Amino acid sequence: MSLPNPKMLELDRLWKIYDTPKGPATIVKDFNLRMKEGEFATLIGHSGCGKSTVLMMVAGLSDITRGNMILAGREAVGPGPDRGIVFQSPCLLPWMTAFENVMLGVEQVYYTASKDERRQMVEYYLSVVGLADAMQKYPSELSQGMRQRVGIARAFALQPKMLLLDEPFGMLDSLTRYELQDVLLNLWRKNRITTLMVTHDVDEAIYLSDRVVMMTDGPEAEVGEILHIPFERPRVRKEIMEDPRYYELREHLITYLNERSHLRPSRGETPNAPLSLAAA
Amino acid sequence: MIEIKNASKSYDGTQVLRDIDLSVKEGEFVAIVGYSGSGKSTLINLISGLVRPDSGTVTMNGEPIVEPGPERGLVFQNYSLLPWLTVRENIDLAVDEVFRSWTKEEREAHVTRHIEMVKLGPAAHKLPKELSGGMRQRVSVARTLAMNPKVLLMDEPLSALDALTRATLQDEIADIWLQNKTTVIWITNDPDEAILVADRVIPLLPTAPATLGKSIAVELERPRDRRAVNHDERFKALRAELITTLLDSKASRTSKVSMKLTLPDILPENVEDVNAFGRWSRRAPKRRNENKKEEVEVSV
Amino acid sequence: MKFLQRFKLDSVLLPLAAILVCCLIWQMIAGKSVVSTKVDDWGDKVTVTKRLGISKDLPTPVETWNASKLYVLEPFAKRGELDQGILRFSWLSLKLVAQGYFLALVIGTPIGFFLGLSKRFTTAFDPVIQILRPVSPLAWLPLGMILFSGVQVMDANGRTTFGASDAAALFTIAICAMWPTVMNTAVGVRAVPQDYLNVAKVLKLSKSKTLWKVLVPATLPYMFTGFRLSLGIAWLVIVAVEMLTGRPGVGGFLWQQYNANSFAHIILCILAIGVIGYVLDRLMSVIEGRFKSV
Repeated sequence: MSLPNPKMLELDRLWKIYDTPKGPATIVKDFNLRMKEGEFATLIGHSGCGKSTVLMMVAGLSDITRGNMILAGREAVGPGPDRGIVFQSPCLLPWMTAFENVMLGVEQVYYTASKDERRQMVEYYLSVVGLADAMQKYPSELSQGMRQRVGIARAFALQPKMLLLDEPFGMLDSLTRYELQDVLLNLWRKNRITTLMVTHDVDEAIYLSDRVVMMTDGPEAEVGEILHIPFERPRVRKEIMEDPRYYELREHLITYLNERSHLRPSRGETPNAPLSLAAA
Repeated sequence: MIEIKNASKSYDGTQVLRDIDLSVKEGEFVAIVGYSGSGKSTLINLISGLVRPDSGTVTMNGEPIVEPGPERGLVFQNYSLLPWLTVRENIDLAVDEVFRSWTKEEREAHVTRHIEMVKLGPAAHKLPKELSGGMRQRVSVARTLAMNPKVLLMDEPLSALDALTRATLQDEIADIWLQNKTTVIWITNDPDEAILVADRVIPLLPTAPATLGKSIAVELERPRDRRAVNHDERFKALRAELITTLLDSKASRTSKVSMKLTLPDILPENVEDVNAFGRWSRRAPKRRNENKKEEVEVSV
Repeated sequence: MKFLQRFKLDSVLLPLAAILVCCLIWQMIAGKSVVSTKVDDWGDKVTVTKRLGISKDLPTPVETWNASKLYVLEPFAKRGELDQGILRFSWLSLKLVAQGYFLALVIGTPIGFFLGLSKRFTTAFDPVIQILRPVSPLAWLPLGMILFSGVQVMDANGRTTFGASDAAALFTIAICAMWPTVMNTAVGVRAVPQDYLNVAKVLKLSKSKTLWKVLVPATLPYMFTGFRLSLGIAWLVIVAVEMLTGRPGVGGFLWQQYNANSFAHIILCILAIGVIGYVLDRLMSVIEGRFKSV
């Protein structure tokens, strides 16, 4: 393999301004981020801070008001299958089976491959996420967690240049969430796709990512601090939970979210920073 | 106080719970943690009397539980408030039913006290739809407590709420419990929540059928500060133990069949290059290298 | 098991009881023949039949049955153009409904899609549609007659197989039955969750693939609600159309029997129309349910 591209994704002073009846509202302001190829970065911040907006701009589903986005050396305009997205709700098409849902994208992207190869592709990815015996089921027959597995399989099967995860486990209960984090890491270990994830779960951010980007409170959100996560990969949850550094990192993130996320030169304070977000 | 011995329950021939043994002392705060769909609700229904065990016994103070009663108050995930009644009227309804012998003033004072307890004083005249999810759950808790139950059964009471509200309510409910020390059985799927609120945490292992695991005593001083406990070695150990127990038990349940799958070594095409002619003059797919296929073993 | 039995029993017995009650009320209102024998002025014995009751000329259930036996027991008999078994009449009506209904769907569904997809199209055509929608079938038919007055398809023997009145009938059914399909399809297309459209966008699906793999399946439940309502209207319209054009069919038969003062047959027609309408609606909701459950 060639050397990893040090500039897989470059976000250069991204702005997002919405026009509202009360005049323009700046959601995201001067957002800069550069990601290496094969890096797993997480955006963390309070709800409504615009972290999802950043992700949607990278995905091409939301227009960039100002600034540049360069993906693998090319300016990327509009959405495309080179950026795989996993949404909070997996948004599978309910009239298609799990297999057909994944196949929809596979057909699109591997149109030069043979039918057999495409089928193998879909079967492979669905099996790896643990759905070998549920491929022919419809989304309504799957649990929330299983649906999200299909969503993950669908994103990975397209071998995108970048993977965008928008609070992928936000709707799951904590135990299922742990399981799916491992499913995700397991796939990611095999194919290190550059990944940008949005979450508000501190534990999830630490366990999964190489870098955690903390965002200031919205509106006019920007990058607050960046935290490097030093754990070796492959990661084992048990070892990480027993690592003393884990609780230090956790504490650092929680403190940031509770005390410093509103600090910023351009705006006043947010009163009553909630004291309890992180442990939940 | 509550005692379950050897209880099993099946639905339509599938056993959901097996050999459940649980005893809860008076004034104890017990949390049961398990995966969704692993029989947690069946367990709480057994205790409430909504469901009877196929075998084994469920008793309260030595008496078998056969039907739901006001001495065991239930709080559900979905609030179950009547939408056309205000907060106060919703609670009134329950109080009037249970304390018929009381005078009107007594009942009124009782309701007011419980509304104050969950800090809903200013919202007492509001309809459920005007309240946030967290406030609705508070009403639900107040209504249940107002019936003076001997045991409070909470079936994933906070699962429908966002993380922030959930944390606030965990603290509040723990505070309320500190004040009146009702026996509480709290069902949840969140290990952190369980450790933060309870005296004793029992994992409900997702074996098929589900069984209760070894109970873990939580010896952290109350009131617990959710940020301070982060530094507490005992908290870290408990958390790790509980999560590992549950994840391991789930992992051991899923049968590990390894099968050989073929992953074609193809690279994705650029969809923008697709044109009308591309469809007809189909080239061979792009491949990473010349070895064509890769055999991978996957555990299912 | 016990519950199931009781449920089944209830769901059969209760409706039967209600039908019985209706028949009793009918019996009470209906006129009864009173036969009396009188000696007239010439000394002959004469039997006089008089009808008494709240509604003198309304036949009782039994009289209705006796008068319509022939039509019901030989449902497919053909004795003359306007003297056929009731099911044969219904079949003629259904055939016409099917054609008109088909036309309504074929025209209505695409219009619905355009309305749902394009805001401009909606702004432009919404007033037109809202004006045309409430117009009664009785008003459309004469227009159809004029519009298609030149239509005449003849078979080898020189008999008209498809004339102006047929064309007008189809036109009327189609234009009246179309609206529920149009409106529901439009609503359905607008209600397609943005998530599904995002899937199409991210995968860069082609226009036709987006339509067939995402838009149409997502809209199907709404479309079928529209289809069901449309069928109901089509069946309503057929009676009016047949009455006005005098075509053979349930409606035509009804009108003819009214002119012949044969009240029992009118009741027969009404019941037949109701039962068939009910069956059609049930069938459609079964199909609709299939699509909704997915």
